[in-house]
Amino acid sequence: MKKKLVGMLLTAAMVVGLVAGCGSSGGGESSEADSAEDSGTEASEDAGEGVTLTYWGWDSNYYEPMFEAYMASHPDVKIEATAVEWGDMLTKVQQALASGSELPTMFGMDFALIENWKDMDVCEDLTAYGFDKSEYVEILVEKASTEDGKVIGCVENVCPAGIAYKRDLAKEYFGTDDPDELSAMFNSYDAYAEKGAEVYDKSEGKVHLFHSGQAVAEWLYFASDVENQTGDTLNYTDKMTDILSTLIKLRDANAVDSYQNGTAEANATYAGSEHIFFPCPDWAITYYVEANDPDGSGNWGIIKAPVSYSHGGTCLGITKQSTDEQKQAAFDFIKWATQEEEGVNVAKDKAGYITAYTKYTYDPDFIKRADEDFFGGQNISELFYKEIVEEMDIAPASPWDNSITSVRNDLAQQLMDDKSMTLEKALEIGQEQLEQLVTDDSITIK
Amino acid sequence: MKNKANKYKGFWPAFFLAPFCICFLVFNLFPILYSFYMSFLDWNGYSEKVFVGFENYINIFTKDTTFWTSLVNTVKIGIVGFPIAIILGLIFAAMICNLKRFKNLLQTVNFLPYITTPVAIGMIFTFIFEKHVGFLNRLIEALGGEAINFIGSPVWAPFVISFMIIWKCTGYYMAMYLAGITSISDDVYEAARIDGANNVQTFFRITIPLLKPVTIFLIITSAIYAFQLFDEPNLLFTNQSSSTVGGPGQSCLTMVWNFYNQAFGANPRMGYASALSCLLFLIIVVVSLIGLRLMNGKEEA
Repeated sequence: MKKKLVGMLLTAAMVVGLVAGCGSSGGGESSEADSAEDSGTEASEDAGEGVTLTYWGWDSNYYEPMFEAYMASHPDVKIEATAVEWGDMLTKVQQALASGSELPTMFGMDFALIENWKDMDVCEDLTAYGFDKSEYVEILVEKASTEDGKVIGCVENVCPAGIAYKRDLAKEYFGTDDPDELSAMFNSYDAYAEKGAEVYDKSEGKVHLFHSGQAVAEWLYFASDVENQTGDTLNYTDKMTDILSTLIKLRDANAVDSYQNGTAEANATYAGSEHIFFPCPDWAITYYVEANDPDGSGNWGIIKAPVSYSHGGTCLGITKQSTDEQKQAAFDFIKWATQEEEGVNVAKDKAGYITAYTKYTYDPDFIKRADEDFFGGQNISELFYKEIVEEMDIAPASPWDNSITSVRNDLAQQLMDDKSMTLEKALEIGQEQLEQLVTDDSITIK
Repeated sequence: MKNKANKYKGFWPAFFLAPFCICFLVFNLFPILYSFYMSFLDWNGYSEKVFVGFENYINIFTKDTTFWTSLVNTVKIGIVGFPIAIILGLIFAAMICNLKRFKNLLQTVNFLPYITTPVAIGMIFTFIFEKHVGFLNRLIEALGGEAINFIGSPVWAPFVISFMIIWKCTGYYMAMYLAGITSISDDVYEAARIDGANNVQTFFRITIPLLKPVTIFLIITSAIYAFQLFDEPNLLFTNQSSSTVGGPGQSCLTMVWNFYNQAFGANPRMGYASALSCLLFLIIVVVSLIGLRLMNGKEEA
């Protein structure tokens, strides 16, 4: 009898252990301890103690200081962030939808994939909360708007892009490091090709203007005014001809090196002395330039690209799944972050982000960046937020941009690897790939 | 006695087996069956499910050249990588099995790559094969050659993946072979020596034939591993600024990467991806059955 009792107790202990091991996420206390990690599945509200918001995103350089400052000035709101890799963000939300899992209250959406986010139809229309489209930079807010006028997210920052350069190398090879003189010198893609060939010869093949064919292709992609999609047609040949013909011209002039963009080796070139120019959206100043060349303060400058353009950006969206209280609190945060003095200043000072709320974007006193010393005292604030913002344009996105970007990256790398590859050959390879990646039979690839 | 025997056929066996059975049904069988069901749907994961019958399967065989590209890539990468890893594992095992000193150290050192995380492996191989700073290219240049863009070239990139497999798996195969060699009776080797066989003859005539079950096991598991290749190529060619689907010229697009891209890409097709995964499952089953047949043949002999 005693043995039987012991056996039953042991069995019960095993079963309890097993159940605990498989345990649900309902265990409030255990999930509390590591709320920063698991918060995405715990969109809970602290009854009677304000509201808890959850957030998924990759841009910790932005959301960490913003959430910290917001919670300090709004003690009734708690925001729990879960770091999600940039490349996994869309997939994570898709999987959550497919499996019926809970979504966070807010998430970051890459502007480049905004059409895919629209397709998922998971975001609240911000205009329902009083979001006034006319108060934001028009081309950015339009990109985040659906055909029926809904706004699915608010862009965190205005994203003008220029070309960053290293002053010491510019002086050595062009005789000047003055941004105005360099802007005049590099006013066309042909000028880049011509000077690139000169630099390459002068340095005996050691120095290139740019470090990566993929980085150049990315720049040309965002600078191109050819729309990716018109109706049911993907304008692949027009778009890629625009990009790749210039890349080939630069490649043949030895103006471009063959690093794989975004890798540790490629990022190390920012601190090196073999590459002069780096395509540079404003967010890349902190994300790439200052991060990869921390000792380079004073040795950098920025000029306008031959065509002013905008690159990247992140939208903050509010999920439909959230409770009304959470949605309102999330919108209050977005308003604070992009419209209110405290929030826009934290974004500017801590993340280097300038809000797309025009009251501030076009305010010459506000746009003054704190890191101009890093650029030898150059007034990059005026360059970015006055000159480029006013001139830049954005081609509308398509739901197939991720596939087009994949093909673009591949072609750029192959063109740099095989110097004899022609534009026609590259277009043919790309067309073949894109036809496989674009799986909607109603879409024609031209 | 009879009552007691009956008791152990009733409640208690079922009770103890229940946790496993429930977990198996919920976490293994149900997802497999649900995937099979999904393979007949046109569904992106969040839209309305539309039943399309065998259309997904028909499209794979009639329209989708990527499926065949990925199949060829997978076989190509596997066929280069795994046989070399198995042969090296066998040679290393034979070399260190009789060592008096450093045997454990060598075993551990060789096994380390197998337990290294894939992310770290991706970084290590970038530092070896990268064109500008990679160790191998520095060596080639020091010897008077010209740097090769191993990772950026559709010709070389699959070989880099194969090399990753060799680097990662050789230690594991060596450990398996060492266990196999240990189980071979010393009497056999002693008899061979008395008959005048040297070390090389002993290796080819005794060690290799008696290790056949281990070899067959490794071939089957390697084949399954090959068809499931994903981490290695994906980590090498995915980053925030220059991601491509399948590496340079899609030369490293494996079957699972193709499936992953279809299921979880920016334009997901869960139904179609499920059909791909069912076919992959079938391929693995066929390969495993062939392997098992080989093993059974050995037993009958």
